[in-house]
Amino acid sequence: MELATFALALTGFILLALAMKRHREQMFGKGRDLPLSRLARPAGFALLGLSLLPCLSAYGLSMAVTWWLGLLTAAAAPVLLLLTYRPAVLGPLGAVAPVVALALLLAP
Amino acid sequence: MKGRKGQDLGLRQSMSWLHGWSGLLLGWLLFAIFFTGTIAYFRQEVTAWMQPETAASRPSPQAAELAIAKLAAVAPDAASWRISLPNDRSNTLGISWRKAQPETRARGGNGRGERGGEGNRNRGRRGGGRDRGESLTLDATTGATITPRETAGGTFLYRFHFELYALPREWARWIVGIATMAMFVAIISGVITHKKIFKDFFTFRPAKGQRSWLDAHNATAVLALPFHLMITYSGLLLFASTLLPWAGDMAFGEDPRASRAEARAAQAREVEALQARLADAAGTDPAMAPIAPMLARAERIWGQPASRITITDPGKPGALVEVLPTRNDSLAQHSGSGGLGAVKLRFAGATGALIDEQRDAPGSAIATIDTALGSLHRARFAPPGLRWLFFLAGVGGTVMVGSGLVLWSVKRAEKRKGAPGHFGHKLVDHLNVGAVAGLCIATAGYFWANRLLPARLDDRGEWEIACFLAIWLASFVHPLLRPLRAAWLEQLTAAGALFAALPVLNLMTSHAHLGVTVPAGNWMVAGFDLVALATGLALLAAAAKLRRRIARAASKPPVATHAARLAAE
Amino acid sequence: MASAAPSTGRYRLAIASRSLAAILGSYGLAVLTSLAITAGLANVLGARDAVTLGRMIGFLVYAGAAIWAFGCRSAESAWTGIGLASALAALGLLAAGGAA
Repeated sequence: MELATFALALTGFILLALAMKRHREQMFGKGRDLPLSRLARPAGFALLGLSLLPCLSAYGLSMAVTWWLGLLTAAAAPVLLLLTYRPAVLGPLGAVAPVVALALLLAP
Repeated sequence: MKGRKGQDLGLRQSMSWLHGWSGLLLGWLLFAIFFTGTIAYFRQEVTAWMQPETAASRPSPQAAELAIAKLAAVAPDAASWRISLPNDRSNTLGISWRKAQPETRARGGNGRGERGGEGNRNRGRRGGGRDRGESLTLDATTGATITPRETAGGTFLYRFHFELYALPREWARWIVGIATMAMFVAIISGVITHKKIFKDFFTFRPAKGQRSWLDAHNATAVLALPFHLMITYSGLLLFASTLLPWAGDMAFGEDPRASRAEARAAQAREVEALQARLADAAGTDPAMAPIAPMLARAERIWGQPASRITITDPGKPGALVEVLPTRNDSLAQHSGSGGLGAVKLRFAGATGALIDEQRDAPGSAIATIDTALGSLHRARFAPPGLRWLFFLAGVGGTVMVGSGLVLWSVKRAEKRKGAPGHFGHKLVDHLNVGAVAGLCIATAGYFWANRLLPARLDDRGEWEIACFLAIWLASFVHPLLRPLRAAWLEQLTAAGALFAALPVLNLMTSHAHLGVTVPAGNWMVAGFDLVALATGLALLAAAAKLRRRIARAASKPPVATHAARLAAE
Repeated sequence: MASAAPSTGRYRLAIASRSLAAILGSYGLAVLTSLAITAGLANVLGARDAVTLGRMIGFLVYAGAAIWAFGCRSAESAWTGIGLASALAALGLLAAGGAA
């Protein structure tokens, strides 16, 4: 469940980065705009919020929130580093991470 | 609108000033607190690395029986036995016992050295007022006695983190407490200062001098902000009785400990009555029920293995067995020594029947919040994955303080535009080298001393600490004799080399090196070597970067040289 | 604040005054606040919780006051603000002490 939270948070942070023009250009090159980039910010925040749920299903409230906040930090850090050094990776990563999260959540 | 904006700028500037100065004046101390505190999340693992004699011990299912057999042989008449089972943070089996007659309490020593036989888990609180009796460390598979070298271990770094060293306890708590208060003010004023906290959330622009340092400082601060706030505020609460002492005197009258002593006495009476009932029921048969079913039962109830067993009046009809879990499953539970003590199962020693489960939860909402914050700070409840997250956040905090210190220097140097700094600036520049790079060297040197000092040295733990302090002191002298950038370069290189070579040193001086620990799956000890290696490589990478900057600067005209030098710094 | 070419002496005095207000004044206020809360709520919450709550709020008050001391218009208003708040806390403490 921790991994599902991490993957959801990672997706959320990538969406938040996508919502900013500067970072969007880092990822996809200058002048490229994505059709739904207006939705990126609310979707990103929503995913960050949703990422608490897997923890809540596995732990009591206090432990769940502790895990969640720790994992949020751990998910934001690679987004920052990749944006700086390997921005092209983030697009594919943002596509794979939610699939992984879903698979983990649906797995028995 | 303009006027409001102007006012806003004023507030931001004054907050920036407050942030800079409160951060700087206690920043050197805060760096040490964060650095050693971050390591302290793994203090048991650090101690295990520093006692390689214990590494061959592997957990086994019969560890509890081995311990009881050993205790029955060496201390059949003891008033109580205590067994620390191997778990995911300890390979060895620890046993200790207390004699029947309460003798004069031997509370000698300063509580820092970890005597060989004592093992690394069952350390009571310093000055806890309890006779810890005698103890042994056993191999968890064979039951053979292990005599590890004496070491100050991870415990020194842990204690240094909030008590410093060789200072009267209250002084140290005040000094660290003031630093924590400054940290709290610096965090809040820093958030106010940081204009574009969301816009710059993912921004890191490397190789841009002051800009890069500011980005690094902001990123490590903002990404782990919940951790920084939690760790600072809970740190204050842990020191509350020192920093805000009078409320306690006022509310509890002259003897604040009276109510606690009263509660302890009541508990002792309850246990005595329980044991009398058990003795009546058991008759005169001195046999003890087997321990394995009790442990299995405990694991079924908690969903996690037991890690500690206490047997009161072993071998007597009224024997009482208490079993504690590996870790608390909620933040809102008191954590005594080793993070346990809030939850326990009690069994009748003679029959093995479960008596009850005891949970010592704080009664009120306020006490719950207080307890939870204390739990979060100490992280003794944390399972391995979460412990790593705390560690990473701690690394972030350490980098935040370190980069903040460097930023203070770089900012002023860029403002001077090549002019030599006055005394105050130079002092800060030099102290930064010793406080940041020097502490890294000293810590690596501490681990080197652990391997290189003779194994049978008297007061070996104190010698390790002496090495740590001597190296750290030297690292403050060194920048006075060298140009600033050379001092940084040399110290970063030394720290990086010493850390990166620790696995090699371990290979040459122990049988618990990576070649053994990795195949054996002993990640507790292997983890130390790997983190040391990673730390060393990171420091060497920083040194290499600085060297390139210096070389590039040397091939450019003087003005650019200076700018590049400043950037490098 | 940093660009203080005009009358450096006065500027430094103001900074020193604000610093004192932030470090010592805020501490005094924090102590008085925590005591007032402890005294005022000891009968409601019980001694232990009242002490804990007083200290929890005390630290927040310290940080808030220290920031106020630098955020407000002048050194004088820093002292006035912290002084007034301290007087209020002291009054609260006296009132609670009289009631208890």
